[in-house]
Amino acid sequence: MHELSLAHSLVEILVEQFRERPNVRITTVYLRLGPLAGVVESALKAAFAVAALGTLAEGACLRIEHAPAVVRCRSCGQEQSFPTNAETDHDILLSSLVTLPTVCPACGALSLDLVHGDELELVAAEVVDG
Amino acid sequence: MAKELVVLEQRLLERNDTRAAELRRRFKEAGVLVVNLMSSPGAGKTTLLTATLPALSPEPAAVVVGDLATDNDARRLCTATPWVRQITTGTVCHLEAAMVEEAIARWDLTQLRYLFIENVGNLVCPASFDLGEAARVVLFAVTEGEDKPEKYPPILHRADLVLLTKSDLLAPLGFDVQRFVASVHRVNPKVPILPVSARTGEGLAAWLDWLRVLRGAWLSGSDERVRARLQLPERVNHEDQRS
Ligand SMILES: Nc1nc2c(ncn2[C@@H]2O[C@H](COP(=O)(O)OP(=O)(O)OP(=O)(O)O)[C@@H](O)[C@H]2O)c(=O)[nH]1
Ligand SMILES: [Mg+2]
Ligand SMILES: [Zn+2]
Repeated sequence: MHELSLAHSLVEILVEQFRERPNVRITTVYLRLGPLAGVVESALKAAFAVAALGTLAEGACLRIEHAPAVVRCRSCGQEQSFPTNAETDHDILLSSLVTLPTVCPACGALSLDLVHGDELELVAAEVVDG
Repeated sequence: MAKELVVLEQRLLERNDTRAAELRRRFKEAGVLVVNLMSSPGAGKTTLLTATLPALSPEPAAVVVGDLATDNDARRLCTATPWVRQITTGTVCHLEAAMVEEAIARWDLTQLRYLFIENVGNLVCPASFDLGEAARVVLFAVTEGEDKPEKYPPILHRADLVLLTKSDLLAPLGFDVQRFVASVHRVNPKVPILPVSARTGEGLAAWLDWLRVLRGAWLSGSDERVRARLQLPERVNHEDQRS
């Protein structure tokens, strides 16, 4: 359950970011998650609800955008993107929703580098003032 | 009350990553190679370290070991090195850079050549947290089955070496090494794989070589984090060990 640690980091960042604006309340938090971030989405949402209690983010909705995993072939340079399937809340590791290739789909070479996929990023917050 | 969208674009683990980068800078300055050992519970991390430390001697090596509770592992290790710190994490299922920072606070790093961080036994959570290590080593025990690696891709994604531990049990278990290697390489096509047994000593020499070569490469490299894919002896990469 490192989702709780992640949720605390998230709330810490939000508190920090809006320190100068004490009247702000956060209504929605937008996150970007890659499939290899090692996160269970439903656990992160539950942890965030708890971590946000008593802060400006209490009750805020957590909206998750799925970033694709991207591999690049060392041989031909081709990049291929592998999106996470489905859009619903997941209660399994996101990594099980994407299947990465072992050979380059373009040239068949075995030398693939993973260039994206472990994103764990706060994108934006929707706030109301007052 | 007007709604406003504030763009923040920040990594969730930025704080941990900043701390880790600072630790890595300190380790490099002091000439310490730091290895983060990760596996599921009981894969053989502590046992491997109790065999590794005397074999590295007289090169001084330290261990920071994380567990949810008890200092059993630290007590097992303290006969092998005077530099041992136990971190008990309570309910936290992984180590974070701040915990490592605190654990090493009173050590003179320049006295050390190696620092092993035994992470909490867990194949999921530790993957996200940079501890300032130069290399990540993931251990799978043969008792866990051949297809365990591809079930836990995030931990392998940044692995620099995979150790297949308890290799003395390959034959009795009829373990299929080829299937295991294929499973690892489905996630991380380049990572070297080395079977080791703390019981028979198999693979230990190659493991020590890997550490020594990596330390040299890391200290001389200009990269902050060298993910050197080192050349391991031919046979350890693909050959079937069952015979
Ligand atoms: N047969 C065999 N057993 C081993 C070997 N290495 C470790 N074991 C056994 O595996 C069990 C677990 O080993 P540990 O070294 O405690 O494993 P660990 O990964 O440190 O465990 P945690 O810290 O609890 O996650 C012990 O009973 C060891 O004796 C090996 O090379 N061969
Ligand atoms: Mg242990
Ligand atoms: Zn290609």
